[in-house]
This record gives sequence, structure tokens and C-alpha cells, in this order.
Amino acid sequence: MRQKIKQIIYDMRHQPIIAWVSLLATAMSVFLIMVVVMIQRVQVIPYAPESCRDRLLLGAYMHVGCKDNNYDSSAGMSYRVARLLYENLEGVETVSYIEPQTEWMEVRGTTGESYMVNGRHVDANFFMIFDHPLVAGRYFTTEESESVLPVCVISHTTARNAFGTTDCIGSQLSVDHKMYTVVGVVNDNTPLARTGSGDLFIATGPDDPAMKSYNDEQIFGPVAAAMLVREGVDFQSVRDQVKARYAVIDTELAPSGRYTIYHESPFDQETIAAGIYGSNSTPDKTSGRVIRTCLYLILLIVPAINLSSMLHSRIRRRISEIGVRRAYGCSRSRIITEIIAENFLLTLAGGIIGVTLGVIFASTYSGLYENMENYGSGATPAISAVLNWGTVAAAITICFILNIISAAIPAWKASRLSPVEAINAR
Amino acid sequence: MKRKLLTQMLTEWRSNLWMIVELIIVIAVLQFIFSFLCVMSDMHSENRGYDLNNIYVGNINVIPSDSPEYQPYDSLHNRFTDRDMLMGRLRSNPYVEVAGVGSNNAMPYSYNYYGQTFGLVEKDTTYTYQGNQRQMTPDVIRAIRLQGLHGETPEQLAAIMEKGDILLSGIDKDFSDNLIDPEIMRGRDVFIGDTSNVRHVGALAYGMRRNDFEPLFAGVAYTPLSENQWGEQLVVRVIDGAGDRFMASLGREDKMQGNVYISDLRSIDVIRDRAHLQYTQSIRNFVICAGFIMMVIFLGFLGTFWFRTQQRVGEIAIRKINGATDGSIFRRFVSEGIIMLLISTVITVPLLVALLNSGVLDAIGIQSVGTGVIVRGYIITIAVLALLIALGIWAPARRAMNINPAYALKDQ
Repeated sequence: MRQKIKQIIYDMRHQPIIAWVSLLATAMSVFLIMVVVMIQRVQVIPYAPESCRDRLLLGAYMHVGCKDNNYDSSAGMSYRVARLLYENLEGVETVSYIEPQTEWMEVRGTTGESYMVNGRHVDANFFMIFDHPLVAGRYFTTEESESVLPVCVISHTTARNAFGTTDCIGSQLSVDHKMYTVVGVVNDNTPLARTGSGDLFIATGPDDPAMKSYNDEQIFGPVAAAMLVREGVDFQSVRDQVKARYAVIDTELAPSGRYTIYHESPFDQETIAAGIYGSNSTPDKTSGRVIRTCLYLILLIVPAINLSSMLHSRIRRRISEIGVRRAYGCSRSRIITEIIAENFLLTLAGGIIGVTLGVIFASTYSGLYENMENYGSGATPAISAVLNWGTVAAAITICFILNIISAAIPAWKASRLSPVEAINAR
Repeated sequence: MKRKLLTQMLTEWRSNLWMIVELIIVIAVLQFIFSFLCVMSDMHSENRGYDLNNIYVGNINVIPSDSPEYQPYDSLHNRFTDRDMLMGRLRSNPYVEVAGVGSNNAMPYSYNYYGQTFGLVEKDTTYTYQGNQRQMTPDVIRAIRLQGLHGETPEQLAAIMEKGDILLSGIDKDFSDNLIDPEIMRGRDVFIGDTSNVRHVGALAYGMRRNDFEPLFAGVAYTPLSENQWGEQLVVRVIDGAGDRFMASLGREDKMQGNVYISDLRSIDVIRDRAHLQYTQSIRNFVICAGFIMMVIFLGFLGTFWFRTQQRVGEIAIRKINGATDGSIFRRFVSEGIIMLLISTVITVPLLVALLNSGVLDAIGIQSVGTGVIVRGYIITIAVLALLIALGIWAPARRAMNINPAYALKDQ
């Protein structure tokens, strides 16, 4: 190993431009790939308040068309439809009826100052799915949410801003000019968690005027269903059950010539991360995968061709050394292995620089994670979300692939050199 | 000389072949990126027919009746009278040019498609127009300075709406079965939804888009908000450059009257930036990707030609002894790179033709700005690569120029 490192240092001293260009290209390539990897991972790996992401499904939207005319309507679900489709599904541990996105709400507490927070109407089961550790008080109960009592749970910062303290259990909080009793204070949470985050959680139930249906038939409304699926249950089996239940609504709509259009709900975390903005279209996570794969290939292949060309140049400087080693009986496979191993060390060095830059960038630049819901929050992930065993494994894999692509051909060609020609080449 | 240069390039065919392969990949990727950026640039700079500078929007809300702050109304007052007083106060603000009220999808950057079928019955045919219905008071037309398709001024369009007439925009053909041009509806009575609800089309106006990076989605029908209809959205145009002073001038009493209050009042710039997020992020990502590829190409040519000058010291020295000037040595190196680019360009032309004939680029809105943008993207790609190659080869070529023949050939 020491000999290989010496060899690399020697190379860098004697061919500084080529060596530094190789190092820089490797670092840039690994940096960009790792940023893409980290952005994707931050959106799908579990962390509070969505520690349940591996088992989380979100049922959202309803889309209705008509056979007889061009009627086409789509929006969120009414409470009635949400329950009809998502209540008591086999394999689902808990279901919570929630607003899928937070709303900008004006709050005022005893400090007297009004300001805006991200609020969300949720039922009592919400706290059984999403982890919001309590700082004070309690979560609201099923009875409170079913009866739509004016109670709420607020975040630590909201409590401090509204009341100057987290010791505010039982205090009255004005939310959009309506009074709510604070029953619990929870830890602050990151808006990067799209389904489970919020500064304010208001108890809601089927009779909540704030969650009322948009139409007389109680089809559309602002409700979504967050589900915690039992360990080991296949998501598709849950989707199949939901799809079968659409038939009930179809029967209701049949007299008016209308029918439901199913869009693969409930959605898993990767689909949520890809964006579920359109209530009238099936979310597409495949195109995201294709784009990422193309990006990885471009970011690997384009620099790899250059690195290969430059490694070839470095090897040509050592052609007589290779000739001598071959003359003394060094096997071709050993030549190949050593060149690839030496190059891997250089790639690894570039990779470490790239990953370090990537981690710094991915954990400080909030623009990478901005979406319609958390716009302007400036939220960045915790360092543990961007630097963990998963990203380290990804980085090593990327370095290994880059090394193989760039070093395989020059190493193979070096191993094919005739010792006599190689020694004479100088 | 050129023939000799080609012969020399053939002797290093392996290395050159890899560089040509790399250039082909890079041309394909950069062409896509530059075409996308051209599409975005064209869409963004297109005249949309309305002006959103100095516009502020907010929500008009009513305190719920179960709130302790709720004040019961007497027979003379209701939420509409509260709203009118609030609007009157806003209009008297010295920084406000005009203020109006609209439905919650009255302004751009809203993806709410509240649609209606607008129909014209003519003889045996019913022409239908699927319109994204945006309801507003005529003052909103004045505030956004909406223009008519036949040169009508915002004031003229607002006057048409004050009469109770509606305005229609051009139409996205995908949203109509049989209507190609809404021109036939201009000046005619059309039904909205069903034949019992008939309105007069006063004029055709520019359509309000969902954002500044995509073409018109469906058609847009501007319908007047009647006096007994509640509009959730407040639209204010402030005098040029007075946005901050306007916001600072508003006290609690300017935002609240009785049970009606204004919330979330802010510049439409903030809403636009949020709505454009997916586009600006795509542009940012593509620019970073293009920058990376361009850097790799630059470094690739720099490294490869640096090595070549090392390898060719003897050859360059002999050329110089035989009368080659510094300039001819420099040009020879740069020519090698440019020839590789030309070969790659020739190979990728069929790719360009295939792209022009395929629908692959429809996803980035090519059809809305014309396929010429692909050719533009291609030309930019080749020009940028030529520049990068020249820059990458510049340092090694300068090094080659400065080789001292006596020193280089001392061993011989």
C-alpha cells in the first residue's frame, strides 16, 4: 500500500497537470453524483417526524369523469370518501385523516403579536403515525378530534413566540381569529417532512367545518389519509384493496353517467418525493428514476473517458517499468490489478474531496430541497440525513465504478505490452 | 499541411477516437440542455399581455361566527359592506393605483383549474370552448393591465366587463372538440355550463397563464364578479416602486373592518417565485450539469494535449528547425482539436435530424416555440465546445511553441 501511495505521489510530482486534472475531474464528478444521491435520500430515508417512511402510505385525491359529456373534476377527498376508501384496510396498522399539505395560518397568543405558521388539521391518530415528541402536555384524544373540540398541539417555537414559554398548556391560542386550547407542545420539526410536519396541529373530525366537502355529494374535500402499514405488508396489496373500493363510489355516481378515475393511490414515500401535485394525473416516479440514471451515467461516463485518457498518458510514462516487471515474470493479471488498485487510490482521494464538498453543500444549501410546500423555509436536513452509512456506501460504489470504467482499458493495454517492446519504447 | 495533420491524427487514432466519442456524448447532452434553456428563455420573454409589476395580492377572509371576535350584523350591514369599506380604505391609500377583488384563481401562478364549458349554438352546430373561469371585478383588469387581442386597452376591457360582458382568450386546441378559433364567439351570446345561463362575449383578451414558463393552458374566460359574489382574493396595483412604502403604511385598521380581514398580503413576486420553483430548479440543475460537462471537456483537452506536447517534443523541435513558426505550431495543435469537433459534429447531425422529427423534446415545450430552437441549441453547443477546446489546447500549444529545438534535441 505504502509503495502504491509513493508511486501516486511520484506521478503527481512528475506530471502535476495531468495528475491534478484527474483528481479535480474525479472530485467534481463524485461531488455532483453525491449531491444527487443525497437529495434523493433526504426525501425518502426515515427521520423524525417521518421515522415511519418505510411503512408510510398516503391516500390522496379523487378524480371523476363522465361518459356523456366532457365533465372532468378532480381535487382532494371529502372525509366521507376518505373513510370509505381507506378505513379498516387489511395490513394497515393505523390510518389518520389529515390535510395533506400545511396551510399558512395566522396565530396570536398572550404575547399579543400575530404571525404566520404552517398549520395542519389532523385527527388523533396522526400522532400514532408521526413522531412528534412531547415537550409538555399531551396529544389530543380521539374523542376530542371526533367531536371537533377546539384543541391544538403546537411546536416548541410556536409556543415560545405565542406565549413566551412552553408552559402554556390550557392557554388560548387565536388561529385565524378562532380560539383553540393548547393541549400539547411538541418538538420543532423539519418542513422537509412533507406529510408529517407542522408548527400547529388542529384537532379535526368528520364534522369539522374546516374540512367540509366541496360539493353536495360529499365526494371532494381537503382530506387525505396517512397510513402506517404493518411490517412486511406489500404496498400493492393495500392499493389493490383501495382500487376495489372505488367500485362503491362508481355505483353511487353511475346514475349521472360519471365514474371514478384511479391514480394508483395510496402513494409511497418515493412517489410523494417525486411530487403528487396533480389530482387528475397518476404520479410518475419512473421518469424521476430515468432522469437520475441518465444523470449518473453522464456524470460517470464523460469524466471517465477523460480519466482513462489521462491514465493512459501516465502509464505511457511508466512503460519501461512495466516492461522490466514483465521481463522478471510479473503476470498480466498482476499488472492489471496493480494499475487498477493504484488508480483506485487516486479516485478515492478525489472521491473523499467530492464527498466532503457534497456533504457540506447538501447540508447547508436549502435550495436543493425546496418545493411548493416548504418554499422560503430555508430548511436543510440534519447532517445525519446526508452523511450516513448509505451515502458512504454510495460514495465508495461510485468511486469503484468510476475507477473501473476509467482504468480497465489502459490497464488491460498495459498488461498486453511485450516486455521487449516496452523496454525499448523509452 | 492539412493532409499531414490528418495522417498524424490517424497515428494517435485510439486516443482521438475516445475524445471523439466523448464529444459526441457531450454534444448530445449539451444540445438538449441548451435547447431547453432556449425554450425557457423564449417562453419567459414572450409578451403575455398583462403586467404584474407592482402587484400585491392577499386573501379576504371573514371571522368565523363561533369566534369570540365575531360581531353580529344588523340589517344594514353584512360582510359585503365590511369588504366595501375595507376596499374604500385601500383605494384611498396614497400608494395604491387601483384595487380589485377576484376569485381565488383570479391571478396567474394558480394551478386551480375551475373550468366551465362556454358554448355557441349556430344552426345545427354547437361550438364549445373549455374555459378556465377566472372571476374578477373590472378593477382587477385595470390592475394587471390586461390587453385585448384586437388592441383593446385595459380601460376598454374593464369597461366591457362593467357592462356585465365576459372576455375570452385564445384557446389551447386540445381543450375543444370543434372550436379552432374563439373569434367566432366575439360579440356573440354564449352559454356557460348549460343553455339557461347566457352571457355576451365583449372582447377577446390575452389568456392568463399558470406560470411564465409554459404556454396557455386551455382557454381563459374572464367573467365579472357580481356584487353579491364573494371574492377571496385581493389584487392591488401600487404606484411604481412604492411597494415597500405601501406595506409599511398599512395598519391593523387598514386590514380589518368588522368581521372582514385581509391576510397574507404580499408582492406577487413571492408567489411567482414559488410557482416557478420547479422551472428555476430545472434551469439551475441543467446549468450546473452543462457547467460540469464543459469543465470536463476543458480539462480533458488540457490534460490530453499537455501529454501530447510532452510526447512530441522531438517532432516539434524538428519542425521548428525546418522553419515552422511559433504560430504554425500553435495552430497545428488547435486544429487537431477543432478537426475532432468537426468530425463529432458531422456524426451528430443525423441525431439532430432525428430529434427534429421525433416528439422526444415535446416534454420541454418545444412545440410551443418551434423546432428552430433545437437548431439554435445545436449551434450554441458547437460554438461553446469550439471555444472550450481552443481554451483547453491553448496552454499546451503555448508550451509547444516555446520549445527550444537545441535543448529538445540535445540527446540526438
